[in-house]
Amino acid sequence: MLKLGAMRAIIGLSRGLALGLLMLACLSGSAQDAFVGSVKISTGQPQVIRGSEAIPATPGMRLQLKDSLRTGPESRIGVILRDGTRISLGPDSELALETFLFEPGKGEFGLLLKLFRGVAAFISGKIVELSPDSATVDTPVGIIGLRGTKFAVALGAR
Amino acid sequence: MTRLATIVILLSLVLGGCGAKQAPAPTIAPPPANAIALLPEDDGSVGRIAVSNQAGAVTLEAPNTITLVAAIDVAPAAPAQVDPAEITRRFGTALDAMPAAQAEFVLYFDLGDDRLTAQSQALVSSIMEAVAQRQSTDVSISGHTDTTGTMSSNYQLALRRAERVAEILVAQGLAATSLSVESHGEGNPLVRTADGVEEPRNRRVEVTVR
Repeated sequence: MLKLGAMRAIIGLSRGLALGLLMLACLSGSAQDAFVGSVKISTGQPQVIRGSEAIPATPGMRLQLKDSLRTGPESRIGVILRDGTRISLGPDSELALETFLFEPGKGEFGLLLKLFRGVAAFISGKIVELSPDSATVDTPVGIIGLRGTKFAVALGAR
Repeated sequence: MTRLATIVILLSLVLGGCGAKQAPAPTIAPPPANAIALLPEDDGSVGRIAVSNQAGAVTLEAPNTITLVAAIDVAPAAPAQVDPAEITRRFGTALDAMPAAQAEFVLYFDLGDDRLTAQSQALVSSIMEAVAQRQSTDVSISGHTDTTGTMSSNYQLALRRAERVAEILVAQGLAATSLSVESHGEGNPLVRTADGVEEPRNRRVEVTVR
């Protein structure tokens, strides 16, 4: 009980800290770094997993680095990243936005998506166009290196 | 005698049959799993992807080709052409949820000024249409100049141009929270020129609607 209480206090504290940091980030104008894309298509009840939270994914919702997209048996989701990369998931799928680096001014590019399960389609954007060797989709059976543009992955029997 | 022989033969056949039934049933091969396909884009263009794991690698280069990958320690199978129905069967549920592509607009300015050219002014309604169609919450505006003037004054001018476009779009009803504005100054020209060159095509603001 004590342990649980202590953990809750720590979680509460870290949430407060996170909020404080976020506000600080907003003030310093670097919050955009964490903003990597937005939800465009949402059918059924797909979710965005952010830390330990499962948030209903609604159209227009902004996505952050390390967010995971998750669909259930009846849901689908379509998103667009800030370089124009588009990703869509069919039912019972999960994908994490691991790395997103799009700084054309500095010549810095990187994209790593992790597909854990399910079925997904991808259309690459500016990152692949400007830096063809810096985009990867990781799956449980191998990695996919992208030179563009449109492709799809299905894990498990279908 | 012959009747007995027939019975014995029949009996042995039946028993033999039973014996065979008790043996482990032949395993039915599981349906092909873990498929990766390269698809044509809407305009017909096709890219290239490389699939690799612990055991090997293949490259997909032709439209509607697919590789099957049994496991991380089994090499991806040689690419095979499949028909569109097969693509739909395997990937249709995801493909159906693909969002529209981002829309890109380029607006031009008079020399040294933050006034849109008349032609670009007319593009504003197209931008707002793209926002409405996509229910966009992510519109990027980047300002650019040509190479006349100093680098720092061009940074400021490009920022002013981008902010001017942002004002115009907000006045048209775009939520300010959906906007991000940046200046590239003279550093990201559409047309490369020497320093100090007037180039109308570089005096621009790029608007991307996602």
